[in-house]
Amino acid sequence: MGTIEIVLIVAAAVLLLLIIWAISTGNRFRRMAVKIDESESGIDVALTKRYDTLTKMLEVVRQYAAHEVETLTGIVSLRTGMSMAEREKAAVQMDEMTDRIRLVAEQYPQLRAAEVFSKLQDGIQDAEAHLQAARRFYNANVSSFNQLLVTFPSSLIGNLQHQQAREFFETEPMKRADLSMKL
Amino acid sequence: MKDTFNQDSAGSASTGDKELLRQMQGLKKTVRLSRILAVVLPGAGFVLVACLASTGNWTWLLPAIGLLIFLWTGSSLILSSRSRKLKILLGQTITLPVLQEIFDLQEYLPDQGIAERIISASKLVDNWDRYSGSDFVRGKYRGLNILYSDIHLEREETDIDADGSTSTHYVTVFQGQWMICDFGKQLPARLLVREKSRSQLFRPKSDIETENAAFNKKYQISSQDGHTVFYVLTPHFMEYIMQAGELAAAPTSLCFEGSQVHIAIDSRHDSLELNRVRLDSLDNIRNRFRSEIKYVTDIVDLLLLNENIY
Repeated sequence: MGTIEIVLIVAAAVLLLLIIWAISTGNRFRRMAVKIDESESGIDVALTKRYDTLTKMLEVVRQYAAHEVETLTGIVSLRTGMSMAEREKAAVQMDEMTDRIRLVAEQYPQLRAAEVFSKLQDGIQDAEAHLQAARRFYNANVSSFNQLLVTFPSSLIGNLQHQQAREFFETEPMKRADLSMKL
Repeated sequence: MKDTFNQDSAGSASTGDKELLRQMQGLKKTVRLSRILAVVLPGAGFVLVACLASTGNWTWLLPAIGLLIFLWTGSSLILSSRSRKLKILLGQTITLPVLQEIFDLQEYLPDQGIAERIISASKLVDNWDRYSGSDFVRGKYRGLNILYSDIHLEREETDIDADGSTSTHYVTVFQGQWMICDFGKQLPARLLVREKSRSQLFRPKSDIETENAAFNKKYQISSQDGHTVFYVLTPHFMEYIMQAGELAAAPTSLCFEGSQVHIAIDSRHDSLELNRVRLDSLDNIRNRFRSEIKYVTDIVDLLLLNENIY
């Protein structure tokens, strides 16, 4: 076998490996995109669960302090297809609603003592834990995707596929400012 | 509360500490001697047979072999029965009261461990062929339902020598304490958190990586459901798992499934045994056993009964 043939075979092998790598990297981007979408829907599920529990809690509180809760109704609105920023805003609104319900409950000992209210409080805590988990899972997937997109040589394939960096589920600047003031 | 061992039924349980210690020392001495004989006799037999064969004294060969087999069988039987008697005596008089101090005890079985199918189903330890367990405890600890035992898992390995003949030996894959208790959350998917071995050249890959780089480096995380991983492994809880690993001073792995958690500590020794305890005082034995149980319950306190976890 002559030198030229050997060179051609090696070149063909290298080209084949490059093609395989390109395909697998492209598929990796697509798989990660699906995972991000899946974890995004996990956030929606967690938000909905929290919203439903809050609604039930509001109904219980209304039995004891109807006039106090009228202002809380309609603060939060959830709809399908919200952007990440809208989801974060909804989460913050639910945080505020939870705090205000707790403030109202402190003025009504019978409400605090009610078993159904106590169970709903546990439900809210669990719903918040699920939302945190969904948020962290989503951010972990986005982080992996964005890292793959900016690092060489996978960035070449990402740009060929016109992949865009995904946004994280971030805390609103207002919330961070509020925390720093309390400190 | 049902006790497998009832102190009133055992005659020796009512003996004073001195008499009890004397009994245990006697049994341990017999066990030690029988162990030595079980090893020495075959060697001595080989030497004797070789000497008789070399002198051509075939008349005494068969009787000599017969005598050695008889002695070896006898010492093995004595070893087995004395070991068992010592284990029962220890269980009735020392182990059971110590366990009753710590747990709301429902059952104690010194010769059994947590069921093999439960250990296998957890998938915490891979690639093992032989199972043994001891010092099974079922009860409650500070309100949590618990199962506890020592577990020993071994893998069969076959060696082939230059002549092509094979020999089988067993390699320990896991030996230590295994506890299963209530977790307080219902999980839709299994989550395994396994401490990576320092000796492994290629560290096993995790299904998911958390934000805690030190945790990711130390533990392999396996689960079909990423949400479950982040639901269980909150930043606080990951810190406590790492602290628990330091406390155990041994590779520690956890399996979260349903509403239970398995805590497996690969300490490479059995607990509640006399092997590593000086038999000079029963209080020493009791204190040693208390510290061995506390070693595991401290981890449970840290991981499951800590108000600051979530």
